[in-house]
Amino acid sequence: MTKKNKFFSHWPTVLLGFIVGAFFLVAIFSFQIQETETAIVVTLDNPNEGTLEPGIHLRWPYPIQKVYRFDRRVRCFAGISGKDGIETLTRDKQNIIVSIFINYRIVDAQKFYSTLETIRKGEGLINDSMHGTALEVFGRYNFTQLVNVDPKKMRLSDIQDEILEKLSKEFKINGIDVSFVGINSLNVPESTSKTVFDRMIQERKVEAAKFMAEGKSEAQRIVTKINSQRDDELAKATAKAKEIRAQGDAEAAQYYAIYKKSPELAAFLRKLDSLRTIMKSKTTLILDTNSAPFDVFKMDAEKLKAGPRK
Amino acid sequence: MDKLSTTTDSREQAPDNLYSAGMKSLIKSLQIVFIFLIIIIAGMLVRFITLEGYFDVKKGKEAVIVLRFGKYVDTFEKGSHWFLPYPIHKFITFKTNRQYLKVTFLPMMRPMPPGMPQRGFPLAPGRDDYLITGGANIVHSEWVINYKIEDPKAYFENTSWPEDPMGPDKIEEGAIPDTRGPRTMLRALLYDAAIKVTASMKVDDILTQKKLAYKDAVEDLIRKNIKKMNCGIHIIKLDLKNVTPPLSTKGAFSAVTHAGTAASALIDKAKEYRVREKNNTQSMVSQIKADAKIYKTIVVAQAKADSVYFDSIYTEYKKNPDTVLMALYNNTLSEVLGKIDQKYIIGTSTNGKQEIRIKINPELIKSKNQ
Repeated sequence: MTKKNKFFSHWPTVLLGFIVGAFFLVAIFSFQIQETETAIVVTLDNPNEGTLEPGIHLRWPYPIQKVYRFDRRVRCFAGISGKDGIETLTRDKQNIIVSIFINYRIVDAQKFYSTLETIRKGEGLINDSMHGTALEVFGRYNFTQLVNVDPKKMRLSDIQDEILEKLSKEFKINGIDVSFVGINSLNVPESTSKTVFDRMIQERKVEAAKFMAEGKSEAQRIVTKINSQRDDELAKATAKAKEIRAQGDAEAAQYYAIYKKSPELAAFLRKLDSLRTIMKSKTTLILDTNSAPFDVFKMDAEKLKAGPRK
Repeated sequence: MDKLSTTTDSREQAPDNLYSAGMKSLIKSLQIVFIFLIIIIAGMLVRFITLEGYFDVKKGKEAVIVLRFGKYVDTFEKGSHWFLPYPIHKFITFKTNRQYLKVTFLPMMRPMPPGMPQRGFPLAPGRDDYLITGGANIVHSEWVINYKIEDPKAYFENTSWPEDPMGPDKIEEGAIPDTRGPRTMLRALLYDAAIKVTASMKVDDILTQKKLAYKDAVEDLIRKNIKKMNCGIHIIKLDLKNVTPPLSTKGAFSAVTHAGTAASALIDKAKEYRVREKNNTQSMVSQIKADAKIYKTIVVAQAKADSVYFDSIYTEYKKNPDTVLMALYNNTLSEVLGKIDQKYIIGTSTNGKQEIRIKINPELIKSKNQ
């Protein structure tokens, strides 16, 4: 069997060998940069020019060339102290404890590597700078510009913008983009919190008294108003009633014209009507015999005195 | 001689034959193993290429981003797909259904003797979390962010950190302890929004009537900042689970609530009086007007009747005035006196002086005695 024939008779083995070999070669001489990464190649400790785009790239194997890759996604960093914050003074000498956080990303691996080299060193520098800048900026504002119910007097957003501007400028040369600065905590020292509680309690007492006073006043106002409305409506109703009665009397008076025929008779009839109205049951009436028709009793007595008729 | 040499050769060849037979068996065995290994490797290769490159996306629950040599290719939010596997393609899976993040501004609970309620202590920054209001008062609050990944590409490219987007935020190794990642960022953005909005509102508004407006303002601000970050996250809603004053001041706040309730009760009582009085007034007004109308009707009817009566009497009166008057007088008197219970007719004394003692209204006295 010739050599050529032997080669073809073992082709699966040879193919497998090729595949494995190719894998090794690709693994040694190439590397991938992911969409979320930025990277540089360092040849014998000298950084190559430019950052690498996502995709597959060729390289010389270690130790000739080394690849330094950094995740270029946003990192939310609150510094070493985190939310604990740092005590500082505002312009009006008020003690506050503040902490800030920044959202930053490594956008230029070349600059980042050549100036900071590692994330650890980079964040150490960012930590020092962000707190220093925050203290400096907060110190230029009064406490009432940090907390205030009047939006025109609030300056927290301005403070954040100032810090952001300063940090962005500062870290641009390090290939870092600071995209957001936020406040992680804004507190007062422990001793001050006790004073705040006392003030809050005092304010609540005033508030409670105010509520009661307002409640009483409002209740009184409602009662007074409705009483006034009631009196007003009753007065109006009485006036209206009087008007109606007057109309009735006026209308009735039209019928009285007939009494002109004999005022004496009219007066007499009215008197009789009055008697009917006044004299109802449970009336005690004392009359003497001079009044008609009781004068009849008297006439009889006189007749008796005079004796029988002849 | 030849025979001897032949015997000697066969003696020398015997071990050679034996050796070559053993070698042949060994080679054959190795060949079998080798073929077996090739079959296994080829099988693994086939399995790797076919199954490792296949993925199924649960619609509405997850999204898969495909990278080719690290470069973004596409995002899949439903269906089954196949690509050549790693190292050519890489598949990154994200949860796209609703996720929750609880953020609190609460004090640390101190150990208390059994049965004793928790009481207030001065608040130490770093140990106790709280918010300062516009009037420099203190409140505690609890929030829950409901969010989902709306734009997987933006989330992957800008926010997701660590490598495994479904895992917890990456803990940065080294001297600086903290996490970096979307949940850390969301938490920080809520801190920022809550601090800013709280610092611009009155404590009473936050705790009572403007609680909803307070929550909405924080929600708006965090939405705005999330949008600014272009991080692929959508805030579904923000829940304000609780907002309370510090424990040390709770009694004072309760007193205000009680005062408010008492004041409301006074006002409610006054309102009730208003309703009652309004109804009474309306009823009285109606009564007054109705009485007046009745009066009018009666007076007019009476006058009309009287005029008719007068007219009819007058005709007779003209003919015989005395008789008519006497008749009318006596009729009326009979009618009137008939109804009176007690009538006393007293004769006139001759000397003009007489003393009469009458018990007036005996029924009333009787009832009094009873």
